[in-house]
Amino acid sequence: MSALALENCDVFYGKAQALHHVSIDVGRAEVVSLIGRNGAGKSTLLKAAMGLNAVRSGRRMFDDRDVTALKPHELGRLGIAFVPENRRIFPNLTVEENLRIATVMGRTGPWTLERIYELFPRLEERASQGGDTLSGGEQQMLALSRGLLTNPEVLLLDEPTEGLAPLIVDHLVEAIRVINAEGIAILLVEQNLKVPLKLARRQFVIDNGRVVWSGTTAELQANRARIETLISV
Amino acid sequence: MSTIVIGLSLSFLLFLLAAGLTLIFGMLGVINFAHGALYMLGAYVCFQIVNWTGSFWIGLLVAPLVVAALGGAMEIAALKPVYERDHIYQLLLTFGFILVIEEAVKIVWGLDYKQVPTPDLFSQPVALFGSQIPSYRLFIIGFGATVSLALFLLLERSRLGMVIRAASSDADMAQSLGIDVAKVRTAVFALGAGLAALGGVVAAPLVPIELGMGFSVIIDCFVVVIIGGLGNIRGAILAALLLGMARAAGFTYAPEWVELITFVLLIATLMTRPAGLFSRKGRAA
Repeated sequence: MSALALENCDVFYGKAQALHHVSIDVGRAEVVSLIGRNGAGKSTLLKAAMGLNAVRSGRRMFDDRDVTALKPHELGRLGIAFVPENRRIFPNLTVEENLRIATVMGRTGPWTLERIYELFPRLEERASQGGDTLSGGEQQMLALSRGLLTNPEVLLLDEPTEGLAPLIVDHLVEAIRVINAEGIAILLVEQNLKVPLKLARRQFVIDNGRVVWSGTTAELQANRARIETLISV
Repeated sequence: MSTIVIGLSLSFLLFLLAAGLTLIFGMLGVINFAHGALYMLGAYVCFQIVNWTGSFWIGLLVAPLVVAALGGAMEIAALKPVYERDHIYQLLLTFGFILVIEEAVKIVWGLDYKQVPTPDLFSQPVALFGSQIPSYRLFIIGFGATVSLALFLLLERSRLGMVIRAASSDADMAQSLGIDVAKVRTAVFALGAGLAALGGVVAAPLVPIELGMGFSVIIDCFVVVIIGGLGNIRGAILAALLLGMARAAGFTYAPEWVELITFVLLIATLMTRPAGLFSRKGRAA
């Protein structure tokens, strides 16, 4: 049973093909990572999963149901949450509004504003500040929390640790573990192996818009030298 | 004193229009050339309702709703299919709306000037600080201030306002949070159209209702939106006050310089702060 899967997906930007016959799947409550160098197609794939990029051929599956034709807001309501690269905090909303906006569609579940503030007390301190006044680490916490408040089944995390200080990275890795322990499946995108090795059970490597390797974390460790060359710049 | 009253009433009238224009631009990225035509249509619909019912107040309530519904329908039927295309298509389309609305008005109401009488309640001038002030002007100020306040509360304090702000700043992100941005766009276009019509209704007892009435006002309205900063509603109210007061002062003290004042303000803004006089970022470039 997979929570989310792309099957043989082709994605285009205009006439240029960005993803070629890509297949990737995330099991229920599983952490899977997608690793690749800059421009390999990682963000393109996440956007295709969220419905923000059209899948021209192939299928998008959610809970083993074909959801290729659904729009992004319908996928969001089904239980897919997107925590994008560059966080994309709404700058004209306060911190608390950036969180409450995720609850507007009305998917309820274990994640509430109170629990978010418990997990990240810093966000409560800054609740009434503008979303554009936060530091990089705080923005990442906010983006992650915003995704969580949709009470998703699958969380799409695009380079959550990029540009953050090591201490904050550790804090985030811990938070992601807590989130996953609650049964939320996570598709984690990273450019390097550090965080994926800590969190994921299975790994996909993408290059030039194609999945070029996949396997368990143990298999990745065994093939580490080869994988490193696939993702090095 | 009467200069201040006229200036303030003009400011709020401009703000009703500019608010709709700037909201639509902020949310849809479309400059709605047809805004003046919707203003005109609001005045005509009000005229018709007053004709049927004899009550300006029913017109004030119903005409904006009618035009808002029409705006929503226009967005769904015509604008929605062209968002993905180049901006020029959207501009051409809203320009096309003007032609369609004007022709329709011509067919329904003809070319004669129409008039909506000042409502009885505000037909007598009142004495204020030693001068005779038309009381309808005072009504416009009070009503305009109320609507402006309601609009601010809607945008800043309500759930719908939060959704509009979020969808305006990052539509894709809002969608992935389960928000149906297409519906928000329709709602905002309808709201903008309703505000334009409200402006038309409020202006109806002051001016002759005719096909060209939208044109004269829409230029000032664009000036307000540009001075305030495209998509910036706080900027729009300040710019409307600035322009309204400047024009009223101009009419009193130097009538032949009024148009010049308007465009000097516009040019000065574009030269010094092209993102709008009240934008937080300052220069756009």
